[in-house]
Amino acid sequence: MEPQNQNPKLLLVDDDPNMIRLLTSVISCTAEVDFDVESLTDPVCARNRIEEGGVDILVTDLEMPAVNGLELLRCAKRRNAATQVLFMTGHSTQEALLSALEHGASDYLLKPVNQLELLSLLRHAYERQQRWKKALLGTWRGRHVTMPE
Amino acid sequence: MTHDTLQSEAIYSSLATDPDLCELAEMYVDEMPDKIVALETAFSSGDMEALRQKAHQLKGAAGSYGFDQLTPYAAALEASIRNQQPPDHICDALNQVITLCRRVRSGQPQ
Repeated sequence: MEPQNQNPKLLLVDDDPNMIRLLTSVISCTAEVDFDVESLTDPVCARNRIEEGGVDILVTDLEMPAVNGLELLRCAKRRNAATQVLFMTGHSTQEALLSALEHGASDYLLKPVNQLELLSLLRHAYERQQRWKKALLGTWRGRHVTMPE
Repeated sequence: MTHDTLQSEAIYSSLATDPDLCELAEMYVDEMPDKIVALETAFSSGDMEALRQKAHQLKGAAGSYGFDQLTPYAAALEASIRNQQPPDHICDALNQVITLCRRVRSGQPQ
């Protein structure tokens, strides 16, 4: 059975509830894509949520206590390599940024967050995620086609 | 960061004219006294890591809420702690941040 069209799942993670409140509102009110937005301020809960699967786009702060954004990136990519990950960061070391790139981060946003930049990056992330999803689904179907006798 | 910049009048959010986000900016202003208390408490208890985290959050959130003037001062406070500056230096940076925080207002300038 074909899956029903569902809104893409976006997980927003920041240990500052002020940022969560603002970005959730910006995305819900103005994003071109109708995302299902989940938000978490506890990165440990976020890691558990990612492990459950179904996250299409992860937008996460980089510097958080206990579990940082890089760990969430690695977790998300392990769970589903097609998940797009956007970082938000106020300042970062070269080491952290290179590590983010190496582990497949899609892009980053500098804080303070510019709304237009956020919306533009989300649209691009969504398009990339959809292309990968379609391509991967195509290969899966290809393997499961019943060959004529 | 001039003395005049610190001492001049009320600071309003650039989101105040955004019909979708102006209420959030007002909430951010309403919560500012609590943020000031949290900064003061962290400093007075000597918890520099807590103070650094709060400065870090303020640096990211204040500008995102349209209070761009606060960002460089919060960044300076965070940097002073990260670089283990003397307590007097950190205290000065903190006082500058708090002075600005006390000037944020909801709504638009008259």
